[in-house]
Amino acid sequence: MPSTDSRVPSEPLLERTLALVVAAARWAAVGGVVGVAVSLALLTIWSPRAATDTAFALGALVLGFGVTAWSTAVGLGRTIEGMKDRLEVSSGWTEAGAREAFFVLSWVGAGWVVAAAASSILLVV
Amino acid sequence: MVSKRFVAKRLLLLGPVLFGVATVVFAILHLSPGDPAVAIAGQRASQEFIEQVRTDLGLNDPLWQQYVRFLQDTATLDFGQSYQVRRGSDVSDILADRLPITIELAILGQAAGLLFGLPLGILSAVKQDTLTDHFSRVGALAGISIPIYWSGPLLILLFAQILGVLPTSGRLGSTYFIDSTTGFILVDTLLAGDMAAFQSAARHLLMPVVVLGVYSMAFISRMMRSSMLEVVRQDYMRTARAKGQGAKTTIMKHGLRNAFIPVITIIGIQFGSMLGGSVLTETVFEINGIGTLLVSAINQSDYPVVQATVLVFAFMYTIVNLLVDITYSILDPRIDQ
Repeated sequence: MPSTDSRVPSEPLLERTLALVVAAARWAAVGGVVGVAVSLALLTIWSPRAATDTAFALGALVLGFGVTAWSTAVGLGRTIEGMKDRLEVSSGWTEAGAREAFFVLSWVGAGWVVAAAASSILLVV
Repeated sequence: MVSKRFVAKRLLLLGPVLFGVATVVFAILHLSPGDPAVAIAGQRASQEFIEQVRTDLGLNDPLWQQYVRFLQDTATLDFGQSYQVRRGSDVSDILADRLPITIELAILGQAAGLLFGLPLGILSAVKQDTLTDHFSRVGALAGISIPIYWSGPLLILLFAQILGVLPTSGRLGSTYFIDSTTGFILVDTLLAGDMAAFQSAARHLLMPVVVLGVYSMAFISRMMRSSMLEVVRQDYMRTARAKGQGAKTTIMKHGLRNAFIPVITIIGIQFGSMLGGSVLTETVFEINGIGTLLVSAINQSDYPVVQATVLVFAFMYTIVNLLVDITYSILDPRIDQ
């Protein structure tokens, strides 16, 4: 996966953007598969409405958590790194690592909610 | 001078933060048990009536439709109406009433933390490994470790129950009636020119502010000590001393500004803890701020109030961090390059 760290100057902007789009699409597709799988799995215990609603809420939780943590890592990453160093509790957490992890989580969540919404349309409406 | 690009980049982050927080809150509320329709209609209501309430609130639509509608409303700052806390009132009106109370508490708590934390941290660094330093460090550790739900009742027990010198709860004595102009009780009492009411408000605020301030003070003094120790070892500090400048002047003139840079960035993160702490503090001291509003809205499954309150918390947190970042870039212009 390409680095989401904007300070990495190795690739031209277009190539970097393209690589990010491809990575985002790949993780969204993974999320889509998870969303459909969770919806179908929940169908075995609940009604189609309850199953797809729950699958959607779980996906929204992943999406929301990913986006919030990603934006926090972008905005406060360096502060958190510095604070951990100063308080001598550094655990190897880095801003760039956090950005990449939450980039993945955000796109998986996005794919998941779209798939759960599509399942809801197919099964309920 | 701060670059526009730096501020614009920070402002752009506000969007994802609020979107993410809104999504998490929406998901958690719909995954948690409790039916707002039943809460509104009452436990003894007929199934038909509950169903009618559910239809009116749009709770019968698939969740993804409710989510899209919620995002649309939030984007236009339409938080809807309260289901339960103040039934039928606009959520924005409820927030406008309660928000100044929490902001006043957070500002005073942070001010107390800075007022005592900064000198304590400097003193601790300057007198490194002395008795003063040891006391300060143990005090800071205790301040960070003691939870508000324990320190609050302890203060009430000591100062209200045993000594009887401070009131246990509320914002103002029951004999005073002050019109709410700004929502900040200290300012309102001053505007009303009622000094007795001002004193009463100050006495009511003292314990909550101490509870919030102790945590903030402990954290700030710890950071200030660590930062100051780093700065005093720098070459420019030694050069200044070698040129014959006194220790106090060197610290005040060269050390303080540089040592303050990492501390100021922490204040933004601290403000988040302060808001979280306000939920507990307001509950312990029965102050009707946004913290107690959140607790009662959660208890009563009042979705619009919970969603709007958490969004306001996130917004304030992000704005404070933006201001802190701007201050940081003024103190150290290298940050926005």
